[in-house]
Amino acid sequence: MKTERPLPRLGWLALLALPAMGLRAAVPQPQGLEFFEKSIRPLFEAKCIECHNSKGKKKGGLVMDSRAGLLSGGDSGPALVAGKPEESRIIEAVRYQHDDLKMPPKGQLPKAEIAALERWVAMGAPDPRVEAPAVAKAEGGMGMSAERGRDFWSFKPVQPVALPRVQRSEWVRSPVDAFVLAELEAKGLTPAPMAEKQELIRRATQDLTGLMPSPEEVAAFVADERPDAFSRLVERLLSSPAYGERWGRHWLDVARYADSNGMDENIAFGHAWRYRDYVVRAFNQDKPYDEFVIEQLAGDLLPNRDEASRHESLAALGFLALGGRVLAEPDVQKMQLDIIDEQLDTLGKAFLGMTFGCARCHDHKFDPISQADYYSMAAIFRSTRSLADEKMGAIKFAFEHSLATPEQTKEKAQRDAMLAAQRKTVTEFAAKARAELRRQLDEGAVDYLAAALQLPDDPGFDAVQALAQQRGLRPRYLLQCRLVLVKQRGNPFFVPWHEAFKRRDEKALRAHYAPLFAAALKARAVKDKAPSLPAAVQQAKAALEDLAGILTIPDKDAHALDAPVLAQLEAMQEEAMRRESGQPDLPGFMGVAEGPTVPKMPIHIRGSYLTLGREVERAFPVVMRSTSVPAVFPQKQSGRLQLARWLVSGEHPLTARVLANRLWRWHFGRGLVGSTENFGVLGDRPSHPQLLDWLAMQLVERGWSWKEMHRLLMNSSVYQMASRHPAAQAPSSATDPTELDPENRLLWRFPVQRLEAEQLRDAMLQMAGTLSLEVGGKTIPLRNREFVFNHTSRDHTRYESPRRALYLPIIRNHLYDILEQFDYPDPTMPTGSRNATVVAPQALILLNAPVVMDSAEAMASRLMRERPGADDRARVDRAWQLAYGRSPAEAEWQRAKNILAQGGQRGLALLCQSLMASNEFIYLP
Amino acid sequence: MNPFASLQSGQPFSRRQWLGQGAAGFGMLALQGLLAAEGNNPVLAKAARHAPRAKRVIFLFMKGGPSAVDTFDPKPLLQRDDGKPYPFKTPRVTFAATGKLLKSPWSFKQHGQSGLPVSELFPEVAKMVDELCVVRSLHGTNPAHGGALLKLHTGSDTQVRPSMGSWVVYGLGSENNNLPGFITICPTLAHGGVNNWGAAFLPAWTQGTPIGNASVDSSQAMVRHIVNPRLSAREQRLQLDFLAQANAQHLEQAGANAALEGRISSFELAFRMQGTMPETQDISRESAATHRLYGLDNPVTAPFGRQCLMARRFLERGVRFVQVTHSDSEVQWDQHGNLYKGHSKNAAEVDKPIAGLLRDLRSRGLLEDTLVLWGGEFGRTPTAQGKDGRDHNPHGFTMWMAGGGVRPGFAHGSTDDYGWFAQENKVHIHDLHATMLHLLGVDHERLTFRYAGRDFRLTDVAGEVVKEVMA
Repeated sequence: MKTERPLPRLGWLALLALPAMGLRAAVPQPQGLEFFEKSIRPLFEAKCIECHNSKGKKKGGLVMDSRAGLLSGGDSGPALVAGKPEESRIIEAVRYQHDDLKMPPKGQLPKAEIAALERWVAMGAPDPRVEAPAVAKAEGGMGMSAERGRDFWSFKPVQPVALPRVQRSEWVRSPVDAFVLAELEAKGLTPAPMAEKQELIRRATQDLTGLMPSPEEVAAFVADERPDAFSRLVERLLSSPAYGERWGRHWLDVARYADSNGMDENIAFGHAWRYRDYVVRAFNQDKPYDEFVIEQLAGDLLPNRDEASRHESLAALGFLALGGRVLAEPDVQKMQLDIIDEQLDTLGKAFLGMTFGCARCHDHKFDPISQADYYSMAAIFRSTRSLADEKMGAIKFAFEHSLATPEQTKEKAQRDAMLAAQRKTVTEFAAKARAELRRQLDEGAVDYLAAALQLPDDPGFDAVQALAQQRGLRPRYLLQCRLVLVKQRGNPFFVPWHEAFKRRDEKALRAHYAPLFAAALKARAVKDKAPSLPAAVQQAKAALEDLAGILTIPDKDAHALDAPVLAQLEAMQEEAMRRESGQPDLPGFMGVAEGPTVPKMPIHIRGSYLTLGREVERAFPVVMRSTSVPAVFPQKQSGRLQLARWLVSGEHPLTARVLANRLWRWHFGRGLVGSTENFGVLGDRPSHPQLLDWLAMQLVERGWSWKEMHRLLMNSSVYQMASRHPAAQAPSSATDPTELDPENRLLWRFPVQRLEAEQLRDAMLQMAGTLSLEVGGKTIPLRNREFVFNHTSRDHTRYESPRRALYLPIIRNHLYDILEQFDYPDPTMPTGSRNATVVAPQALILLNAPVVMDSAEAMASRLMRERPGADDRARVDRAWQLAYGRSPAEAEWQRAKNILAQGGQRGLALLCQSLMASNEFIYLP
Repeated sequence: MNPFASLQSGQPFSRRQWLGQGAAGFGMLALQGLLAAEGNNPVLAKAARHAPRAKRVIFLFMKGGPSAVDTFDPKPLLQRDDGKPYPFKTPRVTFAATGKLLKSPWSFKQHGQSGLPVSELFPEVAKMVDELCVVRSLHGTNPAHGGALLKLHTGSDTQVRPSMGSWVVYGLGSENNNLPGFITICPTLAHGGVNNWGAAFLPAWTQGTPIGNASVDSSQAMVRHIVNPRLSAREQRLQLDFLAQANAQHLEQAGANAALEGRISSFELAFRMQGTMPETQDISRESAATHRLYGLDNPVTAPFGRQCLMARRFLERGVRFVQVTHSDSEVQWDQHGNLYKGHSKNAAEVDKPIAGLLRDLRSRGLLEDTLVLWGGEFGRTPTAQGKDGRDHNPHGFTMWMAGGGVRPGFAHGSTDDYGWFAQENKVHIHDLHATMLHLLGVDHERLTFRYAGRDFRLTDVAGEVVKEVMA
């Protein structure tokens, strides 16, 4: 690869200084003006102004309808330096010298016009169009200055909030209730009554563990009349290992967790599960959020404690490494910037509710984040290693911290050699099978031609098969041969065949073709040069080698090989694949490490490393700084640790507000700020700003404890309300809440929530009695860095597993159907608020997918097994308890009987499947 | 916030919110019809700015990157200077190293009234050349397959973005209530995989519905979960009746809720789709003459021919965007070596089916409002990789269009004398997207979707409509 002449770094100073210089030189000579009018103005009008004018398009920030516009230039600096063509961008651009700056873009100017432009610039660029451009450069303005940004709600410091006064004070069980009730009362609304106990236990159990309560748990809770029965339930659920699996899964959405890269090359992340399990443990241990954040960004930089805690912090670093990356990007510099962008964008959305990615190419169009802010943070990640040294062809890999011992490494090399040998056996087998097939077809060519005489032009396959069997030929090739004979009617080599066909004269045919084919094969064997062969032998050779010929072997093995050989080959392939996938990986963590420190980084104009602006030091975004003294970064470290500590330091309010909002969203189905990842200008405003700030304050006061916050939120009236409201859509009611607040933003009832994909899948297995509650471990059935699918498009991932859905492989680009259709979020983007759409493919899955059918059948046999002597009625009652936590009403029993009439266990399975598909099962009250 | 992304269950909705939100899903239900009846389709009102020339698109995607200088972009100087070095500056970033110029092993002839040159690789397509609008100056994908596929299909090779089919369906909806608006037949799962037909942040109903994939022969390709091998239709009907009653009762207790209501109809729709989809895919209903037209009588052309014929049946029934992928279990057109053998084989597999498709569309009167698009993710270098191969070339390559309001029998743009860089009337991938949307009556700058604080477009911040290719 050639290296380019570096672009002049004009930078911002130059941009500011040049217009003044230019204007000083603007005393045009009449001759020059004439030249401009004659040769330059028409050229500008025809080729440039359409995209570069002060009234309409200003591509690249450049306007060319005034002299000042040209002199002040665009994003990459002044367009011209009067008198100096060699230093002028415009000349460089029209000469097409630079790959990324070729103007006009649709095709180079004729040589004469380029010469005219050069001459004009050399003359000092005389130009009568002296007025200043009406508009500043397109990318000049930030959507909001840092100054004004400090007044925007999300950047304002969290203020202590007094609890609002309310009328119905008996409803207030937790301070949370006062905030909600105050808003309701202000609108003249009343909250819904308390939910039924069966409803509450389903709601809380699904909320905290992602599982269904068993009928026994429901019964025990309903019977528990102690006043603190619900708090006890919450405590029981918080101490269940399933809690970490459920809430860890929420965090994994934010961390855009996946077990494969997706993007351009789908490579398995064989160690990602260690990050997943770390997250589950962090929740189960109630790891304070500030520690959790620091470990995920800078786990490798924390002071060394014992080996176990070192491993724990290294596992956390997966957060920075799990992103989807374009791994075969040949432009390595661009790739590094893309990775940094992915990391910055993810951490911005995850921790701060900020869309930093927007400031990569220009100042943020809406939020008070400048391009300088972006590159100040980018420098931190520029000083961080994100890529491994190892490569596979054009494909790069994420960095890993290896834990392998030398013995393990040696063993792996041995196993790899063994696997390579096995793969070779398979390829050799396939090659041999094809070679043998080729030989048989070549030698039998005349037999195929002879047999084809017995078939009409458009034969039915049955006839072909019968004939082929009779003559010991392969039907597929006989058919192909016959069809190609029609298609190649004009081919002189086949003219004798068509002659013979008229008389069905097999003998003449054999006499003609057998020696030709024999000669052709002989010629091939001795590698005779074609020209020395007689024409007919050449034709015979060509017919055998034709890529669309009578006996061409198709590329796909399934089309080409005889069934027994094919079966043997496929079994060998499967076995090789299985053994390969089953190989243990060397232990390691996906993560990042320190690289050479880059204390300053140039601003990349338009995000390209080919157009660099001024350099900026590592820093935090200006709008989030509480002091004008810049943060100090160590000279020999990337600064990730400082960044992580700053995030949770309380110097700015976003980290706490964003997390408080996430907690609310995950409990109540909608954030106080609807846009959980965007607290910027285009994000939503909080529905209950005081409540949000109060919660943010509580979070910090309670030591960033998740479990404390669950207690706070769940032991409230608002959490324990029913999802139905007596006044809703009741004709007689004075204030119908659905009229005043149709979206329930003020929470006059508890929001009905649809089970998420994993909850749905686990609930089906729970009903079937087949769900395993084993926690953690590697579950992706692929080796680290193995192709999930390479070019073959064959998907070897399996999803038949009794483990919780949390442990199913997350294959980017090819998600498991249930996850994909039931709104599993795009695992390349941080997501704090999943959708709950209703689409027909969901119905197709519940009607037809094997996992649903299997679960229904297993549930039916479970009902038969568990209630051996029972009658239908008892089994139906049990089914209702398992699915809904209640007994069926009489009308429901009658409906169930309709289906059971299909008879026995099959009827029961039909019914179980219907329950799994029903709204009452899928929507939590 | 857009109405699609903000939906949470448990809120009462108007019927329109519910429909827009995607309850219609897959077949988009009667979104078009119902919204039209209400006199206001927000999407259409926003997007369609002028009378459309095309109503639907079929994209014949040649995975791996067919070579332009060997197919539709003849280069006499390349033939003359075989074995000499490429005389101009080579790209800053290349995928692999290449050596000297390599002349095309195929000869070109002018065809039809238009006299457009086509190489001997495509004798059948050459007979239809007067329908083609050959664009020889495409550029701007990415030098590697994955990046280039993503760029071509989604406009972005760095982030996950909606595919062009999703944008088209988002802008125009589907014309058939029981079929998806966007279908992709035997797509490759490699190099971007699902992202190449994914909806990204657009509503889920705009995502492409795959029929099989590149590892599945087209005779076996099916939509997932469309048939139930274990239950009879009667048993399923019993289940649906049970569900309808149980859900109605639940709705009464839960109170008005559009998601709960939507779910009730989604089961009926799914049941109808179980009938429609297999019927549409079933090409055995076509005449023997049609089968021959698509090359189904020849094992070499049959797999791709079947894909094309299936595609025509979908187009005919109102599917908005159909992609047909030519990809084997290797990277099909990716001839880093064995150019002669590989391209001969590849062209032989698709030539007849493509010509058959064009003829068939024309004779059915569908060609005039169906935009046909042919091409790969990039072209190949005029220089040799090894002795008989060419490397990836995203800097200047050829795609062709036909039907749907494009200028027939016309060649637009050119590459340099040897076919490496697009030179005259360059058409960037964003320009191609802008032009496609324009032909569909959609202004690419106005077809936007607000996501994560930004209005996104298929064409990002670029794209110019190529007016010269319009009929």
